[in-house]
Amino acid sequence: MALKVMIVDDSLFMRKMLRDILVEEGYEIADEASDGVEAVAKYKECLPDLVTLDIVMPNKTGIEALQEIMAYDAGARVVMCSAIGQEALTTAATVAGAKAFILKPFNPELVLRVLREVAQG
Amino acid sequence: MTPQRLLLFSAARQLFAFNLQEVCEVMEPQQCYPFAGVPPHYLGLINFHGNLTALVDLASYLGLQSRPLPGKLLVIDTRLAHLALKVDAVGSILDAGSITGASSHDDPLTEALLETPQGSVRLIRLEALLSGLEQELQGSVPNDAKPGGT
Amino acid sequence: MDMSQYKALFLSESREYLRSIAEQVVALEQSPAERSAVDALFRGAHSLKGMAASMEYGDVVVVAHGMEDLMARVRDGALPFDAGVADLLLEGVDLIDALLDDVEQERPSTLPTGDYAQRLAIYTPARPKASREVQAEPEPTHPDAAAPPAAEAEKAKESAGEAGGTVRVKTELLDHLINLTGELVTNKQRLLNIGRELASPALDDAVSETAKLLRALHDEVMKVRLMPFEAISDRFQRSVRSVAKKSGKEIHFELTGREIGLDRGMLEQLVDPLNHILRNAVDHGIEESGERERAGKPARGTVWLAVTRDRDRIQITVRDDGRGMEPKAMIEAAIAKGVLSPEEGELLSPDQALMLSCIPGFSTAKEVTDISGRGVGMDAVNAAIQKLGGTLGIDSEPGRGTTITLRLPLTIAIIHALVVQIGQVKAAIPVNAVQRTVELSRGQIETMGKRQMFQLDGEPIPLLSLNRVLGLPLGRFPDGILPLFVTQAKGRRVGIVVDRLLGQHELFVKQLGRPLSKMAGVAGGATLGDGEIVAILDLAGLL
Repeated sequence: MALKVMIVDDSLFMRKMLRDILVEEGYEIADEASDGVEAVAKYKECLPDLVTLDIVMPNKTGIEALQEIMAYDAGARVVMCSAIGQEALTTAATVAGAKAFILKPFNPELVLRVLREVAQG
Repeated sequence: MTPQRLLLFSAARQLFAFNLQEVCEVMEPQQCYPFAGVPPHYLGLINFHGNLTALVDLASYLGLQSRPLPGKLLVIDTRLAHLALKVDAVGSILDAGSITGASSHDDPLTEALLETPQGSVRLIRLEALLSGLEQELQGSVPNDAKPGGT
Repeated sequence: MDMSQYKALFLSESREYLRSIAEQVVALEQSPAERSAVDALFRGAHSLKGMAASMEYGDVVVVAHGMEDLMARVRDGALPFDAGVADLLLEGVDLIDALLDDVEQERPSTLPTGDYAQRLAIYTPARPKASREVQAEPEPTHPDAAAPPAAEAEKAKESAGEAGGTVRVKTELLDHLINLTGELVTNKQRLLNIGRELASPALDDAVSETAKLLRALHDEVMKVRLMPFEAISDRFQRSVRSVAKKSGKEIHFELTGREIGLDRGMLEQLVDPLNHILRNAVDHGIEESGERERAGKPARGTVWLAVTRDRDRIQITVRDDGRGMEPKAMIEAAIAKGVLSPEEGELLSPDQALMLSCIPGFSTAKEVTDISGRGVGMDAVNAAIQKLGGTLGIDSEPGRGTTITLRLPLTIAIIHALVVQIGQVKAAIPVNAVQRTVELSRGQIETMGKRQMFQLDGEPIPLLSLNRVLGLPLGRFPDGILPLFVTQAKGRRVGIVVDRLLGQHELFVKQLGRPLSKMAGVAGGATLGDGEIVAILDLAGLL
């Protein structure tokens, strides 16, 4: 069965790109969210297999959303997305329970490899 | 530069050509509505698939003797202009390979004078034609009208 | 990965970010401590950078990256948000805006971005004195109502997204919808004509039902095309700010009605006219602060821009509390410039005198500064508004200020027009330009000097022949009755004589394209119910 992914990013452009990469590979898109608050609420609703979570977002940053998601579901598999310049935050995210990182701009092969690895544990 | 394929046509007993890509349709003459305030070579407006399109008598615009023939309408690609030209007859499509010679021409409207099996052909520069028509319209400042009705 | 498929989305979302950044900058200038606006600015630049990097638009990345770093310094407290930071950010917005245009047109960019990034990197705040200047003294009477709370602006940005069951639609699709609706309106007129010939009550019923449905469809399509005024309003804040800066004046700018929806086609065409009116208000309307204080006014001038909607009309007012306009001085200047004869000047009411500013070449400003420029004046503004089917009114009280009021229809695509016959030709005049129609008997015509006039409501009104204006043979009027319509030109009423008045029609306005679009005095064309094509005249451009 196809794995369900939730995409979280404040940019529609970024979400669309990521969605296209994932759908092409056979993933199912469980839902999309455009800020941290929405991400937490939608996670509880759709319980996806994987989450891609942007770090810089309005209404709760990606790190804050990650902490809440992990508190709700310790088994959540969340991959953080960040652009160059936000490396400082990766430690905080690892501590909070992020499984991996993807660097923007997205390289399709790399994105798929990281998600595959995280999905297989 | 000479385009790949040319559309040959005649007006006032002369042969002309357009780059085939600049023409989107050749039509039979159709109902045309007069338009106020334009120079006399404007025959009026036609409705081309919902586009209001100016119809210009090419011979008379070029200052040549226009002939009393029903003629044909050459509709310019609607992405470039809303313009149709009335010409006398439309001939064949000419492949660039059959051109035997080309020389430049002083007239800015003429891209080149081509030697073809059909004879000497003036290849028209569409952009020059359009900007010439536009300048003419901008130049004709409306009259300072006097009271009328007498 | 083929990125070209994302270009349109990239452009539209990037422009949204730019708009939001510009708004936040202006908001922060009014309340620099607003933490959420600082964060939002940082995020905006960051997102832009990420998107541009994905598209591999290196120039945009360089500029956005510089803006992001600058905002990170502000966020981390290393730098105060001062006028210099605001200037740099707005410059970045303009730079990216231009780069996006290049991307859209697929032309190579020639804009230098390295210098800008360099200046951002080395920026240090000026001495405290300079930053106080822009900060301006707090005005207790104006509690900075112009600045939207940053959170609200953020919310507005999101609601423009795809949340809440809304979808993004390509703008071409919206244009296509209104085109189809317009063609249906034309076809309804055709059916009406046929119905009249056939005298069939059943057909008449069906057509009148279709007309009702069509009106409902038209209303819905127009609603879809509405965009909030704020889509263009940030530019006004920026331009008022920059003109004020150049002319060394202190200006408070208030904007209300940013949420009011206008047709997207109309919004685009309002930018230049409104910019010009606002620049005039700052440049010529508002006095130097010394002069204001001597007149007992607050040193800081205020310019208000307000948008309101009243059923199917939009009203936009630009008001300033500056020196106002003097009708007598306007008339004298017009006579001195030869645009008005002394006798004509006598006839003008104060309201009409103010409209003289809309005559080509007229300006009462003592000197033409580089800010208002010589090229575009109120005449161009007035012509642009008329072309949109709107009207422009001026109200002014010397010493107290000036109000310019624009009244606009909700839609520019489908209009009501008076169709007239002139010689062999028919033409249409938008009804907003027609004050009334009159059938004049020849005996009512008076001759004053070289002009022919008639009396209307006790006012002498000069007569012009539309046939003559358009170079057509003059009408004969064998029964001695001259049909005419009254319109406003050069600030006063004029009677325009035609051969016949053919009645009012609902028309779908079409653009004429090259070459006829270059013709002055023609706003477009339309098809009547019988298939006949008419020109829609733009009287402001024609007379």
